[in-house]
Amino acid sequence: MATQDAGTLEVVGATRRFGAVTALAGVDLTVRRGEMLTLLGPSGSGKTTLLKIVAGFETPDEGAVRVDGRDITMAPPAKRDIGMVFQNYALFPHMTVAENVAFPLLMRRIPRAERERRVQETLKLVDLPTHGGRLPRQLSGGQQQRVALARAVVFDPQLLLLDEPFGALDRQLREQMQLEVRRLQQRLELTALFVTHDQEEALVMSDRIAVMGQGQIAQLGTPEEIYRAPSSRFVAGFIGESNLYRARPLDDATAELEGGMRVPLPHKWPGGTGDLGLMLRPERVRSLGPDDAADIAFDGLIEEVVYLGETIKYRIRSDDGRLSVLARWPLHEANRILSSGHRVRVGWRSADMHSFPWS
Amino acid sequence: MELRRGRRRGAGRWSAWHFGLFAFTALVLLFLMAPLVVVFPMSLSSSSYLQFPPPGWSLRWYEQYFTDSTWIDATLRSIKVALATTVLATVLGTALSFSLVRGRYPGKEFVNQISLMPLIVPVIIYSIAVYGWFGQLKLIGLWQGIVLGHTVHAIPFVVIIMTAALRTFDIAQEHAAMSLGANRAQAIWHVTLPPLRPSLISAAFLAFISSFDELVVAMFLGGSNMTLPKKMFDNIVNEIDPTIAAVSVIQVVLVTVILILVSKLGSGAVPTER
Repeated sequence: MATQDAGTLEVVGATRRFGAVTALAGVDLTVRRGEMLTLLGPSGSGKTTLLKIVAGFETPDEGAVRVDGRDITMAPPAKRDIGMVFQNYALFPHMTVAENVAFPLLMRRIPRAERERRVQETLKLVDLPTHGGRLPRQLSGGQQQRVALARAVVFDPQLLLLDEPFGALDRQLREQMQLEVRRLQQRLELTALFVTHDQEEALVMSDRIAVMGQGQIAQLGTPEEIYRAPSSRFVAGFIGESNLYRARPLDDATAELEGGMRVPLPHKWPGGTGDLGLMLRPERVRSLGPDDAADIAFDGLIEEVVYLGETIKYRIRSDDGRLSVLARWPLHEANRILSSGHRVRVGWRSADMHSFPWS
Repeated sequence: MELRRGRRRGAGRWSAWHFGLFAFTALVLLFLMAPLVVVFPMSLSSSSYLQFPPPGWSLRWYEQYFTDSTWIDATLRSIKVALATTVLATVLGTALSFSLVRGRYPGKEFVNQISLMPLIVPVIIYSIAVYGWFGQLKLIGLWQGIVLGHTVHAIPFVVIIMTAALRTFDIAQEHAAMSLGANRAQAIWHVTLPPLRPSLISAAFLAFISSFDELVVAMFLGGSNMTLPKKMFDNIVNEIDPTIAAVSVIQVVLVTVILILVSKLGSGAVPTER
């Protein structure tokens, strides 16, 4: 799996401007061998531009792309040895499944016997061993997805690119395919760059995630790091649900939230440089008994209830009106559903929060 | 009850309206088709004049056509010119369509207008201009000259059909082909063009017809190299015998056969079995 040796894919200082708009502003990125790295960001964040530059459909204005140390910045897509799964699969509608999968081998002039063997092998790998003779339109969405995947890996590419490949599938199938693609990628030890705007998908699929915004990488880290310790307001807001508070540091251990409540800080704050952001995940908010104490605790009213099946979400406003917090609690026998207007006492530990500079 | 009565009355009204429309349509059809239909019996006439109804039946005008080498020469020349025009116009028009749909360059809209211009400029004006120009190039009287003249005229048909088809084509497929190891030409050949085949065939057919039927350009550029429409025109001017009717029938049959072939070839992308 992800080893620490030289990166398979290196992007250095990639910049791309479209007129006055800078789509990509000097991005550096290394994808390690055998690693699945996800570019996660909203539309217009530059993730797709970066993917196109790696695939060869765009040329960066500045910067370079290297695969295994080989500079491919100017190489045409065909010479890059990169397999790609497209958003709507882009299967060739006039070719059978087998012909689709054989296409990259045909282009590489691989002899017929070996071609057929590898096509068959790969179709088996994606669990479609008997579908070779069908046309793409005769397959379900999930099956088409598998064919697209087979076609992208049949020629043992050095790199696999996935461009929002699950967007067209319904939720259940999407979750299943996510796991399947992940399993295949790990089994073939493929180095993969995955693009999505779906943060849940990113958490499921990735060894590491690069959260992108405004043409730059806002944060790069494991899913756990990104979720637990986002480095900025943008990342905190984009990944998972969170309570985000702006606060003014009073000293290196205390801050005052907007609204006036004072809270102890989770980490020692270097101080000086303006306001800070505090993030609290809804599942870390606890329901307290009348006399229970916590680092931060208050009495309040339930304003809003959202039932989610396994869990339930409450928006709770403190009695003094200074603070509003979103809490998510698991539902089990001991936990009955509270209705809006109900009085509750809630609180959390200071260490459950995460701080970062506000701006 | 109310509703049913209403419906029945409505149906009756619609029926009268329907009958009127039917009669009108039939009349229009008759008016338009009669000259075409009349040609068939006239071509089988025993008379030496074009007259209807024919006084008697004979195949002599077909015999006349098939035994007169000027008719056969003109026919073969027209087919040759039309085929060459088809190939040139389809290739150039398709290439132009790619440029118009995919290209990003200044003046693209101007190129678009220019490429459709031959449809707008009156043929006679165009013919005079080309006559002057080809005269200097010593292209008058050569069948190749007619091909060039016809090609300019056929390109707009190809461009209109192929730009429409290309706009609906998902370019991701071409990108996919290139990422899978195809160069641009291979991607277009293996991936882009096959699904566009019905459109390509329609475009080629229109190009063929536009040349095969064309008179004015051929008149100016043909010289002694007469095409079939020119020969027919001369026949009408000089002799006017029912050979012209026989030729018309043969022409109609030929085009119909091609049309049937085209619709057979053009119907969807047939799965390739291997």
